[in-house]
Amino acid sequence: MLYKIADLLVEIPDAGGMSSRCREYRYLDSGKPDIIIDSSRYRNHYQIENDDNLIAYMESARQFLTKLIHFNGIYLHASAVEFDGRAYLFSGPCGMGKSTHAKLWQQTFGSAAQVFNDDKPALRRIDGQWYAYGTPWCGKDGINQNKKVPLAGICFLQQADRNEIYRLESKEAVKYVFSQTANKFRKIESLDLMLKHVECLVGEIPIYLLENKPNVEAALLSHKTMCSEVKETEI
Amino acid sequence: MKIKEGFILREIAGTYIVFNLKNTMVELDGILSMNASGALLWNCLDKGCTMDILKDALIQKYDVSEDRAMKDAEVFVAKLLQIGCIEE
Repeated sequence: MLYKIADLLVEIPDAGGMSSRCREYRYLDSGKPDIIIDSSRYRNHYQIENDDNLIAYMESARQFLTKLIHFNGIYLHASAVEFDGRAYLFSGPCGMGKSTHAKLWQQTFGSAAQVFNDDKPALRRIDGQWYAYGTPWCGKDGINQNKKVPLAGICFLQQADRNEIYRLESKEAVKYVFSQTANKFRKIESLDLMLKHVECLVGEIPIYLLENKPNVEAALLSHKTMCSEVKETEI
Repeated sequence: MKIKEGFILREIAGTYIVFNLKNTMVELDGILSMNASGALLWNCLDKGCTMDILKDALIQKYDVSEDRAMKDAEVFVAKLLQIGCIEE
C-alpha cells in the first residue's frame, strides 16, 4: 500500500500489521514511490521471539529511516513536541526521560503543546528549512500525528539532581546527534551523506543539553530557553 | 601498528570522529573524537607505522620535545587500543 510519510511516497507491505499502523499516512492517489519497503528482507536482528508485528515495525523503520539520507533527511531517536507552530525535539538514550519531558510540556502548557511522535520523527531539510515529521514509527504508546512542523530546537537530556541547560557547540552537538541516529551503513558513500546532513543540522538548528530532574521546573527551563531562541531569531 | 579495516576518520563541524563501518554506532561514551593532532597520528596509523614515526610526526608539526611527543603518542595509541580499532 502507498503512503505519504515525511513528504515522500512510500510503499509498505501490509505484512505484520503495518497497514493499520500506517493508516493515518495512506496516500489515495497513484504515484511513483520514492521509497519501497521490501518485506522479504525483514530479518529478526532483535532477539524478539514470535512477534512478526514487532519485527515488521522495526525492519520497515530501519529500511525507511536508512533511505531518508537520500532525501536530505535523517531521523532522531526523540520525542517531538509542537508548540506555537514549531517543533522541539527531546532526545537521548532509552530511559533518559524523553517521553517524560515531552509529556511535562503537555502537562505544563496544556493543549498548546502537542507531542506528535514519541520514538523516531523524521527530519528533512527542504528549501533551506529543517522540518520534523510524524512517522508511523512512533513508539509503544502510539502517539502519532501525521504532521510537518518547522524545526526550532533539539534538546538532549541527562538525568541529574538539578536543572541546568547548556547550548552545545557544533563539535559537541554532532556526537550527541550521532549517538541517537544509530545506523549501519555498509557503504562509505552513505555514511558520508549522513554526515553531510548532520553537519548541516548542527550548523542551522540550536542544540542543547539539559541536565534535569523530571519535574515541571525542568520543562519551564527548557521551554523558556528554546522558545526565546526562536523569538530572538525572528526579530 | 595499523588501523583495523572498517574504521574511518571523518572531519565534521570542526572535530574529527571515528566511524566503524562494520557495526552500528555506539553509545555517546563510545564515540571517539579527536582534534587535529589526533587526526595527524590517525593518518599515519592508517598507512601503518611505528611509535617512532608517530613521535616524529608530532615533533615536526608541533615543535614539542621528544619526551612530550612520545608521551602524547603513547596516550593516543593506548586509547585506540582500548576502543579496539588498532592492530599491532
